[in-house]
Amino acid sequence: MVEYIRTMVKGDHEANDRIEAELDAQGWDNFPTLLGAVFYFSVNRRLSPKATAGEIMLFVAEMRAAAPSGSQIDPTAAEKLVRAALDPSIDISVEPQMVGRIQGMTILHILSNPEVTDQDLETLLANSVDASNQA
Amino acid sequence: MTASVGDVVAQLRAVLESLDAAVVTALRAQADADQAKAHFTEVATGTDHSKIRAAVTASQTASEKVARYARLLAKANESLTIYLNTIAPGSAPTHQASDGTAPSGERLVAEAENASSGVAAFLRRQVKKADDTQDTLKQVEQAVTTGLKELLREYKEGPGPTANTTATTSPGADTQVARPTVDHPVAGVVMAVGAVAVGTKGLWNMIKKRRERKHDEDQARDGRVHPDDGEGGSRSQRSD
Repeated sequence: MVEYIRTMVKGDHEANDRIEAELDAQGWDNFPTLLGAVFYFSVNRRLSPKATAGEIMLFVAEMRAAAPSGSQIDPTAAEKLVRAALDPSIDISVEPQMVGRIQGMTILHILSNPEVTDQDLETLLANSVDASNQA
Repeated sequence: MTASVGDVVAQLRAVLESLDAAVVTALRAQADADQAKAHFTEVATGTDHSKIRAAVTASQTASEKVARYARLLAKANESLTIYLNTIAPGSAPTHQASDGTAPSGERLVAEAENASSGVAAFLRRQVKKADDTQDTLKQVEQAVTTGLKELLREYKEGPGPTANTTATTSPGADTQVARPTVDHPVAGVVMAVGAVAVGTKGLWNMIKKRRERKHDEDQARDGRVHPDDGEGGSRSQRSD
């Protein structure tokens, strides 16, 4: 499953489609946990735990501006989910399908940045796999 | 028609949601202005042309003004939330961290939990949320996966990044304001402010009608008690 996220971040659409078909056949059990872990580490890589509401709003706005025109997310839900990754007192009250969209867009926006090296990506993915295995 | 507290709260909540959307739109416009400034600055390298320098300055000014606008909207949002929770406690979500107040025991525990294993705490909350829903855990997992796959399809097939702006926060069903898609972030800001104005105007009209009705009732009562004291005439000229 981690290969699915790796190809997603690297923009290798062909490999990503192939892995998606394999996972559709095998099952996606526990995938949201891995996705959640990658989302958590990505957000904490980009934003400080003390990020203000305005900084989070700006981050979400940047992310939406960088997305393809047809891809929309609920900005209020996105701010809430990002905040939840920074602040453990925030409840996660976002509809599951929107969680998938927001976490995907956030991961793509942060990890596709050229400043993120292959080594950075591998370390982050390895930490995410560990965290999801322990969850 | 009598405007109940519930009606006023519903109107205020619609205004609050519009303000939320306006803040997001403004910040997005700021991000676009920052990006424009970066592009102009890059283009301006090695040239001293006055028009390019003017473009850099203008985009910088736009960024600063939109940022100020966003801060003011956020402040308005915060004040309205406090007011709404005063007249109807718990009716407005408080999505700002409560800085300046003593942390609750729950918060201290949560912070300790975060320090030891933030990711584990986050994943636990994610699973707990799934447990709290009426759907099974399997259904929730499928929904999350579907959301991601759907998004990736859009990235694979869709056009590149754009400055297209649409306020996606929707007000309550009884006060919904239609928001057409706009192609320019600044136009988006203006439209979002327009939506706020429409919501505020509705609230204003409601309060005004209530005051007028009360005024008429007062006049009728005063007319019965003091028919010749002239108070009614001066009151009728008072402006709210």
